[in-house]
Amino acid sequence: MTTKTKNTTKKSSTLNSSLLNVTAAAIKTTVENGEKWQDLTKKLIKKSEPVRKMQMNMVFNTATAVKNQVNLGKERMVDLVGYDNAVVGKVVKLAKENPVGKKVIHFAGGIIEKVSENPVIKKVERTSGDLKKMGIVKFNEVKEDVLGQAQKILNKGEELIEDAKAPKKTTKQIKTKGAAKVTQVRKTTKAKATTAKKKTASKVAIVKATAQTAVKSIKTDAADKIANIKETGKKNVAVIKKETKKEIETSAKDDLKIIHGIGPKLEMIFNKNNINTFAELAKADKTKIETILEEAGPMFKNINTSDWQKQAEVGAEEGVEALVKWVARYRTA
Amino acid sequence: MATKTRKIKQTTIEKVAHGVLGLATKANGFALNTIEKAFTTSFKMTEKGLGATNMLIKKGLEISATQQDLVFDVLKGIKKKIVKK
Repeated sequence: MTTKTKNTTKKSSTLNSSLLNVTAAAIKTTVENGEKWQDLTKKLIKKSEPVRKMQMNMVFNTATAVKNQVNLGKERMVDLVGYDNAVVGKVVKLAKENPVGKKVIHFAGGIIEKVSENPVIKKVERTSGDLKKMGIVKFNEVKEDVLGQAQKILNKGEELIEDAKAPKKTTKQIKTKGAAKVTQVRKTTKAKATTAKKKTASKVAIVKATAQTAVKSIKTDAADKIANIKETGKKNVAVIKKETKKEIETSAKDDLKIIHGIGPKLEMIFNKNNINTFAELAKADKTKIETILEEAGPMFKNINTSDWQKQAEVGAEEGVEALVKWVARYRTA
Repeated sequence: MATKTRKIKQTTIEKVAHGVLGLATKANGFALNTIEKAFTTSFKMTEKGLGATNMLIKKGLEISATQQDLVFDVLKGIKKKIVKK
């Protein structure tokens, strides 16, 4: 019994599983077939589009043609009857009663109804309504934004006015701001000053070093130059001394021959005894002159020397020209 | 042996199901094709019919326009006669 029940349970389970598989496959195939049907409907809708377009065009073309015809008829009627409203009304009545007119009006009414009932037109109306709603919503959004911005600007302006009205606050604020700025500036200036000091110190050190080297070189050059100048100066001084001595000697010597009674030999004798100028001769004593003449030889013993000292005084005091004049006067006298 | 028999049983059920489903899909495909063809031909026919109706409407409108002109011409003539009288 147990084996039988086991077999039946096994069989039922396998059957169940196979049935499940089959149902899954069936569902799958139905879904696939449904998808295929959906695709077909899509295709057919697309294919029906030109037909619908054509239908629409036909309807609108006929409507416009009827409208034109009615307008033309109206114009012609006005032409026929004139502009009298009563007559026009009568004519319109006649036209309406006319079977052709009746047909036309009926056809036009039918077209209008058809057009109004057309789903495409309804859809267009709906979309236009939606667009209108969207536009209104967008406009309201933009309006709110603009109003918000304007409110912000107004608030800012009010704040500025309040600030302007309260000067104490502003001065305080300004002071605090100024103090902050001053501290900042001080800090920056300190930093700048330190950097500048460092830079200047380095520059000064460089300049000092260069100056020291320059001074050293200048000193050495100057010492050399001074030594050279000293040497040259000494040489020059010696030369100048010699020249001056010579010049003194030459300049100190007066032409004693100008004096009446003194010839070149006597001049030589006086020069040997250190009497070279008129002043020296004038200062010399008579005895000294006599002794010099005695020593010179017997030739000069009896020479008259009385006027020599006077002549020498004139030459020393008034010059050579005065002496020459004096001698000329002395000879003529 | 037992496994073999189980296999055979399973395949038979599934085979039948698969066969049925295959047939159903085939039938579906056939129906789809025929419907597509029918619809395309109907669309073509309607297009043609619409063209014809459009032509007819146009011609009818033309006729009505000429009729209107004729009526108004007659009315004009009558008016002229009345005015002359």
